[in-house]
Amino acid sequence: MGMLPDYQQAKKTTPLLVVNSLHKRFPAPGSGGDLTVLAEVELAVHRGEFLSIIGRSGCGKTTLLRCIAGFEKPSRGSLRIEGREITGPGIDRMMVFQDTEQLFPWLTVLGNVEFALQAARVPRRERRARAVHFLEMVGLERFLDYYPHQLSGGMKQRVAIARALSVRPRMLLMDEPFAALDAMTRSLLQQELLQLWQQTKATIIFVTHNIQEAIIQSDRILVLRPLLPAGSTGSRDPAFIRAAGGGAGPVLNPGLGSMAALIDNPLPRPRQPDMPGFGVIWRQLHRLIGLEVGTRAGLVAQPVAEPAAQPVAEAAPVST
Amino acid sequence: MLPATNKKRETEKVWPRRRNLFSSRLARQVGWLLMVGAAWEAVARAGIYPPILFPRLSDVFVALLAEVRGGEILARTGWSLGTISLGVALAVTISIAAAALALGLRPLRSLVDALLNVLHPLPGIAVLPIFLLWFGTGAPAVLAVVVFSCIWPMVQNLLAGLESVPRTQIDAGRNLGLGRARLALFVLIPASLPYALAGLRLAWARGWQTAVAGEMVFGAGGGDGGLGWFIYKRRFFLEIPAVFAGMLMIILIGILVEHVIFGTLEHLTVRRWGMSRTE
Ligand SMILES: Nc1ncnc2c1ncn2[C@@H]1O[C@H](COP(=O)(O)OP(=O)(O)OP(=O)(O)O)[C@@H](O)[C@H]1O
Ligand SMILES: [Mg+2]
Repeated sequence: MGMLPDYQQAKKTTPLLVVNSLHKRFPAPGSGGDLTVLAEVELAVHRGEFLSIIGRSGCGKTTLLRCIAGFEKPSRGSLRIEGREITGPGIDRMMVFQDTEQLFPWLTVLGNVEFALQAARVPRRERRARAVHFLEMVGLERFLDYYPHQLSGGMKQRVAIARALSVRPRMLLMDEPFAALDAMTRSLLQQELLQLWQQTKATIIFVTHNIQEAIIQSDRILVLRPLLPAGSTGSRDPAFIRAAGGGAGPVLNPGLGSMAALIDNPLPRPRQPDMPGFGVIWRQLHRLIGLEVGTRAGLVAQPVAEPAAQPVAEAAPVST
Repeated sequence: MLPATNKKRETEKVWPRRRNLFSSRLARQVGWLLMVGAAWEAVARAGIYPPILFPRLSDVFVALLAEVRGGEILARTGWSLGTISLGVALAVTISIAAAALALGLRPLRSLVDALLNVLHPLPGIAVLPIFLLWFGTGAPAVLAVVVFSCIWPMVQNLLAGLESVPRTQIDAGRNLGLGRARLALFVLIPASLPYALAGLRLAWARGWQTAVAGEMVFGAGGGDGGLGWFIYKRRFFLEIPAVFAGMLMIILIGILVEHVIFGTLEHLTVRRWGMSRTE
């Protein structure tokens, strides 16, 4: 295909989702204080875009997705969808959750999807055909009458994906949907998801731990990083910032922000791991996440000087 | 992927005899009961104890048949079942309202909790003297006591059930844009059904205990009265085999309700959905 991704054109219009200076704190059990999970998240997602969020376990990916879905209220900052403040969950932003308990155990596979369609006010006579259609897409047409407890973990996840897609949401929020699947099914579903994405022009925000999956699928990749514990001055120290790459450019919110980087992925589709340019992005992400050998659990900051990708805003990303 | 039919066949291969009545747990239990019954009959026939205190099992069955033919025991059973069903139905209605209020209004939650903690330990029969003063002797007081003793296990289970609903399922429902009412109706209630059924079972058992005990202690007015009253009257006239026949009737109904009604209910719902917590 090799042309500009759809979202590049969409960029000229107003973004679908705008996240402004989002902070999220949770009360920290035991300590009596708060734990800041997300800080200074700035994001604009355009219609039709496929955005992946990547980062180490516990860095706030699910929390960010739950804020967008409307399950969590931001502690500071705002989230707007088409200019309107997000005040709660809605069927226009369908979430595929990280755990396998998300199906209703008292409904069959078909029933689960039909229930969502009913909630979406799809007329009764259209429901069945549409539910079957989406279940066929995830390869479950022979399991329509199964109850969730009779399915494997990966099959449950596929039902959840079919259910989320079937209501044709404006935005699909997927929290590591393929994590429980074997490599074969995973790459199959990746391809199916990409096809669906191109057919339906859905906007997808996709959380994953898998760097390769992120590169193959997304237009842009947001790298989140864990925040330093409150009270530690480490990265806020000007000397540290300079050492950490402050010299490579201005540093935005040193040690404060959750965003390590937001990088463009200009590789032409369809993508393969062995295509030129793939490795550059892979290595860059690898370093940003802090997986690089020699960095002490990512706590030593790495300036990024790869020409292939644009770091977040005007900042040289610092992985804390 | 494994087609449905294969799966079924496989399960049958692993437990080929489970469905066979005569090698099942049930058959073993029946076997034991038959042996205990035979021992009873033998001891009674040996004449060690006076028959008035220890009647033969065969006489008990004869008495049961006679009472069934005479019609009295059936009328009493019907009366008991009516009282208990009405009592449990009222208790369930009140419990659902209480649980809904506790769920909907936060301050009421602690009120319901407080009442539960204070009143749950109180056996229904202990409030009967007061209820007799308030509601008058006979049927109304017994009904009130049945309702009282059924409410608390029911409320407790409903609240525990609502708390046990996985957060993801609630979130999935909210994600679909369900409001409070539809979320409660389509998600919270089915999701907490295993607890609700356990509560119903407990309520039914307590209803029986309370109704029978209440009638025995304080009797019933006029021609009314249930199995408790029946047992009490027969004992008064020293018709001991008939007393045992009354107990047998309670046991038979207990088994019937437990296995046929609750068992079927569970098979149609929580077991089928893989939500039952007991095997
Ligand atoms: N309701 C909550 N109360 C308190 N702390 C919370 C709550 N939800 C999340 N957290 C904290 O927020 C942090 C980020 O959690 P989150 O689930 O967003 O991580 P994640 O990036 O999705 O991790 P993973 O990749 O393992 O799924 C964790 O430290 C977690 O303890
Ligand atoms: Mg997560």
